Amino acid sequence: MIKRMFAIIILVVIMFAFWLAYLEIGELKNEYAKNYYLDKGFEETGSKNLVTAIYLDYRLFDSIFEAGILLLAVTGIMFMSKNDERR
Amino acid sequence: MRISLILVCISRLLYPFILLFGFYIILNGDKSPGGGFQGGVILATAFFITYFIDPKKIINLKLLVKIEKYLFALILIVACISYFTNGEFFTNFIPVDSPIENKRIFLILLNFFIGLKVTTGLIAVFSAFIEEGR
Amino acid sequence: MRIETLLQIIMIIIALTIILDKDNLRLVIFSSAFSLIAASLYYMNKSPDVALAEAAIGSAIIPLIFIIAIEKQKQFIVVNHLNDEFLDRDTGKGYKVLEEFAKHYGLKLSVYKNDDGQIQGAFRERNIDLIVEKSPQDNRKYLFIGKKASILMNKLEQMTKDIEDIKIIKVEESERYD
Repeated sequence: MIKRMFAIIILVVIMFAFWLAYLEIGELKNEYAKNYYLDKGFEETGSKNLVTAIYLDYRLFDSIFEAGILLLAVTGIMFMSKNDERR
Repeated sequence: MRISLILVCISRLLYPFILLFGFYIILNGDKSPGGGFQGGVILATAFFITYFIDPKKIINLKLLVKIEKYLFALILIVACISYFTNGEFFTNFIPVDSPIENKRIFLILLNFFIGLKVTTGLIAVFSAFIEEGR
Repeated sequence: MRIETLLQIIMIIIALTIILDKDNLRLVIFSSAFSLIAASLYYMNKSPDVALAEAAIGSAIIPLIFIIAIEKQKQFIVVNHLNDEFLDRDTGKGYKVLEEFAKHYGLKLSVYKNDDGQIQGAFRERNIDLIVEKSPQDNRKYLFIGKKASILMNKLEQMTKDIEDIKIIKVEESERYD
């Protein structure tokens, strides 16, 4: 019973926090980056798709290590499944 | 495991079209929605269909992981070429003042490598799941 | 009513169904439908890139991996080291207990007779769930030996709590029971 009450209280607190964040969305608007990409994205990268322009040119460093994370996950799964001494 | 004949026939019919769609999404990633990751995932789905056609297929997992490693190294090299042409790491290796049409070469190249890398990685994960305990 | 509102309401209903449902296979299908609706909502909110990735991953790859995992868990393999009829099909007392257990959890029960060559490291080599033996000290008790990490062993222990001549022993995954 105490556990359930505790869970409900936590849920109410989280909902209150989300509601406060929702009220502040309008004040935090910043359109500088959006306007920059819309104006110069095509000229600087040559890509009509702005998503590609961002992840292959402006943020290429992040994309490369995202690919590295996939490589790490695959090698981890291989290690786990081959470590079974089945053959 | 018994597989219905209808499923096998439909899979055989769909397989080339899904492959075509995946390559279309990868190679047109710079002017239409999509890109390397999405196209790679669709190519991997196309490969999974072949498990319905032939469930007893055996895949060389070590070779796949090796291919993936080399593709990752290739992506790194392509991203680092720009240091010698532009003097800056991790950006387009074609000079800034060249025509826009030429800059697409870099995007298509990198999209293609990322797509192949995602495909091999997902195929390796999925095949490891299937062959576990068989 | 706009179609997006309708899709959002359907999405909430499907999410509640996923939480409340008990059948694993149906649950996977529901989660696939959930991803499909999410993909169409992404498309309607003008982000087709995310919609492509969501449609391919959420409704094709993840359900396939889940279905394979469920399919591999459906067998319950028992190795029989006894010489009497405790685990004989249809007549044995222990077989009845195990059959009831397997039927309750929707598993497929398969009992193998012992052969001494394969006992060594049996847990790791052949993915065995349970070994049945006679107790060396007390001649009337039967030992059920299984992995400690398995959740099924806890349920089997609860089920056989009030049967007197069955004793359950849980072993670590790495150690070998000789």
